[in-house]
Amino acid sequence: MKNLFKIFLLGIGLLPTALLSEDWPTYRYDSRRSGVSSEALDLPLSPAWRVQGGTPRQAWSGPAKWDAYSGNSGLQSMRNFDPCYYVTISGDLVYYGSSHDNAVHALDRATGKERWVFFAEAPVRLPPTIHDGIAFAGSDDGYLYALDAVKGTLLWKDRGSPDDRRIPSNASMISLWPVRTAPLIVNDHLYYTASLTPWESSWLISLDPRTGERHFTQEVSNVTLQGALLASADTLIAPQGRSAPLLYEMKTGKPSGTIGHAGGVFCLVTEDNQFISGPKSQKAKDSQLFLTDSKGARIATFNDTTCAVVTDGVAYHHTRGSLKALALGSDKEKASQWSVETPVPAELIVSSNAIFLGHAGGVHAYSRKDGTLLWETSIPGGGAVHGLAISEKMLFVSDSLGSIHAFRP
Amino acid sequence: MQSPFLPVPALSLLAALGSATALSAESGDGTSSGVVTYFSENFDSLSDKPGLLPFPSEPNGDGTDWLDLPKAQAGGALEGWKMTRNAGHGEGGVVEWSGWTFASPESWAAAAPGQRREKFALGKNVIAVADSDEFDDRPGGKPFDATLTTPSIDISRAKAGSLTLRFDSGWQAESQTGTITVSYDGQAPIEVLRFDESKETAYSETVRVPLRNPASAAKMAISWRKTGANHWWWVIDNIEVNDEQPATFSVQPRVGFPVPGSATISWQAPVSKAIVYYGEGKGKTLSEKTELQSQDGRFEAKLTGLGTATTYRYRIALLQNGKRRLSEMFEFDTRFNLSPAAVSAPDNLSASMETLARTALETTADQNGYLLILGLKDGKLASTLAARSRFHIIAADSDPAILGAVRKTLYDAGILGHRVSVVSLGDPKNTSWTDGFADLILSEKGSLPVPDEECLRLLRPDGGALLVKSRRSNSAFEKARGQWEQAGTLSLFRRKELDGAKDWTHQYGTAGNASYTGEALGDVSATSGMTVQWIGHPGGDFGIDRQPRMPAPLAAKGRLFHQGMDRLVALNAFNGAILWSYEIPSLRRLNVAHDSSNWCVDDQHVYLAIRDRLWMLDAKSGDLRHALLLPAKERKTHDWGFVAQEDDVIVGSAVQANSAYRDFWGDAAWFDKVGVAVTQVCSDRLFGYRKSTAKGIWTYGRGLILNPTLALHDGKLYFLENRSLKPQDISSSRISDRRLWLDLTTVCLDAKTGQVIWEKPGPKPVHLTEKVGFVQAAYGIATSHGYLAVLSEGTVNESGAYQKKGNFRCTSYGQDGAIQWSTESPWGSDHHGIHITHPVVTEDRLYFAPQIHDITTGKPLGKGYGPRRGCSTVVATKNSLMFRVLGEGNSPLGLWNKDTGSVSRFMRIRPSCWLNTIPAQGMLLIPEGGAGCSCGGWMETSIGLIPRVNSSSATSDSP
Repeated sequence: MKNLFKIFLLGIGLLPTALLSEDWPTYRYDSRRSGVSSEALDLPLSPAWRVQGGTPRQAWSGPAKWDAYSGNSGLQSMRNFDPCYYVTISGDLVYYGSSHDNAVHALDRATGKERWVFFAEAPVRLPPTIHDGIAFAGSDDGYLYALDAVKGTLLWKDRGSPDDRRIPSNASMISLWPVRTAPLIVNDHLYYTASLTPWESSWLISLDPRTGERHFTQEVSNVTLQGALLASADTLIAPQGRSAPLLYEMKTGKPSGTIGHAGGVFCLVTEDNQFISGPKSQKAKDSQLFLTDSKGARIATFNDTTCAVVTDGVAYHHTRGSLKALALGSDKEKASQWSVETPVPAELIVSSNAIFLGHAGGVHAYSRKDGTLLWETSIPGGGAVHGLAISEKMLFVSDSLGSIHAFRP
Repeated sequence: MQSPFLPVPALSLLAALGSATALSAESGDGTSSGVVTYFSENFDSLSDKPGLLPFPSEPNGDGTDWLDLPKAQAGGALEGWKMTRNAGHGEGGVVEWSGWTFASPESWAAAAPGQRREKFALGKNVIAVADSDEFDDRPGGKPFDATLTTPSIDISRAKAGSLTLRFDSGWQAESQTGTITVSYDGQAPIEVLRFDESKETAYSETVRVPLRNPASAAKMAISWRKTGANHWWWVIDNIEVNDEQPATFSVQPRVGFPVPGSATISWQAPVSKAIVYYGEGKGKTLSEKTELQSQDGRFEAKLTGLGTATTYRYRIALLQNGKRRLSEMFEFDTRFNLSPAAVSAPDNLSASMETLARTALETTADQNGYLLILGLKDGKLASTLAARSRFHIIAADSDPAILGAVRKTLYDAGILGHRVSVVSLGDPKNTSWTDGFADLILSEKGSLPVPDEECLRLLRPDGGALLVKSRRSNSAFEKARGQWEQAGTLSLFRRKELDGAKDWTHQYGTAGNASYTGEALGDVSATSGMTVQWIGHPGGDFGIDRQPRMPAPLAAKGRLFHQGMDRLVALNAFNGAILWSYEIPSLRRLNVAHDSSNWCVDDQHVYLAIRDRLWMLDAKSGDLRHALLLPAKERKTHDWGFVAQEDDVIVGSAVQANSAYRDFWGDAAWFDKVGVAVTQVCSDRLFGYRKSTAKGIWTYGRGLILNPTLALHDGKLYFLENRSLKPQDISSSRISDRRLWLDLTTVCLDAKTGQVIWEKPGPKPVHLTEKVGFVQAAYGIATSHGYLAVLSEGTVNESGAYQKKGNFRCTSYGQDGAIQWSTESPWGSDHHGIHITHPVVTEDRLYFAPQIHDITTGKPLGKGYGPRRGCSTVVATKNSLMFRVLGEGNSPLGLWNKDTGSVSRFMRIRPSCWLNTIPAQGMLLIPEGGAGCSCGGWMETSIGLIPRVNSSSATSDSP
């Protein structure tokens, strides 16, 4: 329970909404997007079921192949927030949003059979957040939908922008203010954004998750909000992709600054209110992640990596062919706990006993204690694993070809 | 005059006779069957030889990762090879690099990190290195002059002229020279290849050299000689001599993507059999192959089962008389296969729905876009249209029960979302869709549930159709720009183009290069007057980068055409839908500021210069209709250079083969440096074709014609020509000889006959002589005012020193050739393309950078435009100029109001460094061009902007 205690110190509002039931109720588990579950998974695991949801239709194309003028190749994507169908789990249902069929889906956790489907009018790019029996999902059609989590029926919906204008985009008609940030719930307040181009106003909205009644509506300009919203103790953090994440006061929605050194859509807040993000520019020759304190001061730089996970004061990240465990706050000689050669991860999450690493060919699980390989599996179809989630002793794997794979002991 | 051309048969998809047979997976890299190899060496026998010398000079080696030849031979390797340090070769220097030595690519690259040695990707394990740059890092390390010679090679069984030398090469261009000579039977060496300053940097390429071996030769030895000083390197690997002849194509290969998971490779060659080898990744082994036969030399290989977002490599083998001729290695990338998934049509479509569906698809202007069904019954019409076309279908109704049922049906059929969107209609009088996006509007219910005014608002301009049972007459149709047509038993109203909308058919808008077409753009003069019409593909991964001055996108008849990294795409200009695309290995042409573009368009065709042919592609489908030939005299030695079209005439030009710029890596490919190796691509010959018959009608050739000065307007073809430089004076069509500028003639031809209408001596540079000075750029602009000849010249003093400034000088010729006026305008700066800015000519103004002149008198108006960041060149609409506006937001794209001089910005849109933003079709069309730049938070997307005045659903006033 040590992990839970630390989260509690930061405020009850940062609790994952259904932690005690061992759900995975929102994108990367909680409002910090930590990717840390308190569950232990019994390894090895075996395939339980697989659902093919159709090829994801991502919002954006890949990055430029290179900055040829500067002689810089290997540029990284900074807007890759929807490469697969990430899942959330609550009770006996597994949820995902689809950019292929514009729907929110609920699957039976045990069998993978579809229990309900709700149709939006444009792609749903991030998974619903589950809270108090309600599934909240945003769509490119400009709406946030509140659905009965068990039945899939519409309870209410809220359009981010006062205007409703739909434009063509990659074989869809999307709102000029699509909802491309995973709904965030903190202290029983729900937050989401509606945003696309910097020339139109964007909207940051807080409302009552039960009624849809708005707490505040913040109009912001010159921004493109995309990727999962997250929160530190009292601040909302909104990634932008190829621009610095923006900070907003949680109570009022008023802008409170930017994280100037940061960029991309991979962001997480640690249990100690530290912030991990990618660099602000694609030109970083090595893929990098920065760890900064609550005031933005640099604590550490992880090179050659695009994802990380932090728990119990240890950062797990991948550098130049190896997964490393680094004790934060220790002096340099003592910080390195272990290092083990691994594939390059596209996703990292943690259970109480293992680190799960998703990569281009499958999933590896390593001991948190010493990096020992505990389990590995390849993924049928050849997709790259971008999404991982844990619930009720099961592991859920989302790949780039649109498949969701479930494993159980 | 007898036509110098041969008739060229029309092609169509139906005529593609290749029969493809997919064989079981079989290893094949195309290097053995039917080919006799006489010699090969990859130096890998050295990989297990320990280094025998310490690493005294270079800090990044460990002494075990390089060898010189004597030590290698002492270890029993490279027997018979010779390495000679020629007379004058530095006696000191860095010992590791004194002459040709051998190292792993990694250790060689580590000798000087950050200088791009690591880009020799074709070099593996052990390579031969001649690195004069590193040799010079110690005293006595220059000059470098060394020769590496093969052992004697037995070629007694080879037929005369049958041999080819093939090797992998890495070459960094500057003041160095590389030669290859061949000595047959001990005779004097014959030079077969020379790299010098005119050779572009090629960090990693496969070089093939035909050897023309004599009939009597029994032995030969090949020598690589490298000379230079502190000016980079030449590295080689994987040497082979064989009797393989390179594949030659009459029509170069292109790759299309008909459906997801497949690709079609098409080409023409004078053989009856061919094999395509292909596979994933960068390895040398191509694991798959497809064999084809053809009666008429037209081949089409259909590859299936391809992965998503995967780069494939392929080579084509042409088979004839038991010999195989292999192409170089090509690539295509399935991430650019954006074709919609095929879906099944429903059963039991009613007769009336069948008529409606068939009529709908017969009447649409293009093959992809958005079809809008207003009013639903059961959704069968939507799924039928999806199954029979590439359109995305928007199916709308107001009844929740119908919406739910149709969604469920289409979801179960696997059609919902990615092919058909089922949406709520909302307020029928004020729907949420943007204006002008729908290619076709119809109803499944028989009558439209949306008022006519609203339907007409949603129809795309210039071809969008409203399909109804019978014609109507009311005020909505009377006000609308469009006309009724009969479509079988149905009627349709087809919308015309937006008021004031124009095409952008050539590099600078018109065939006359005005950078202004008269496009009104809704009378917009500030960015707040524009809003997003569509957003999406192609993205940052499609292109090359922003800097190498690529051909501009083009637009006509509601279609937008855009080039990327050896690929092109056609889009629906009003909704961004992908119409068709090709990956074409021979497409790339760069530095158009000193050349001409490689394409132009009209309503029916895309005219695309690919090597020695001009492809006439059907603009609607992308199908190849004709492949026009060069005049007979240039057919084997030249490429197609300039291309323009007007009325029924196509004008082309011939440049010496391989003269077009293709290299894009590094700042040298920005083509921006003042006075340094400024070259002009010049044509040897001009010629005319008739569009309607695809037959040649005239040729013209009296000298060197400067490609950027060619301008076509109202039946007259204008250009600058040098008639005194002789062919023996030049080695390629890239001319850097100062004498080019000293004897120019301005010429006007009749574009229909090729006859000279008038010619005048000049213009003349002010500072340039045979020994000093430089002309940075030259342009020609033809309008109703006549012809403007523009030279951008650097200012030098009497001793020839550049004075850090320059001038644009313009001479205006009237229709009869009389000089009307001359004027000049100083450069705003000499960097970021300001000094090569292409002028803009409107009805009454000449816009030099940054000055403005009266077009009728040439007089400066005493004011300029800006502030401008440079990089991109400038284009105009009726009310504004468009360029990168200096300042806020890291200088994004913006508009400059012609009347007020005020500027406004599109934040986070970065144009390319030449021209990727075109005002056309009543819109601003911005196919992605700046994503590679790390200098800001750019949007990395293509986008179509439309004037708010043409988008009445836009209610936000946000800038």
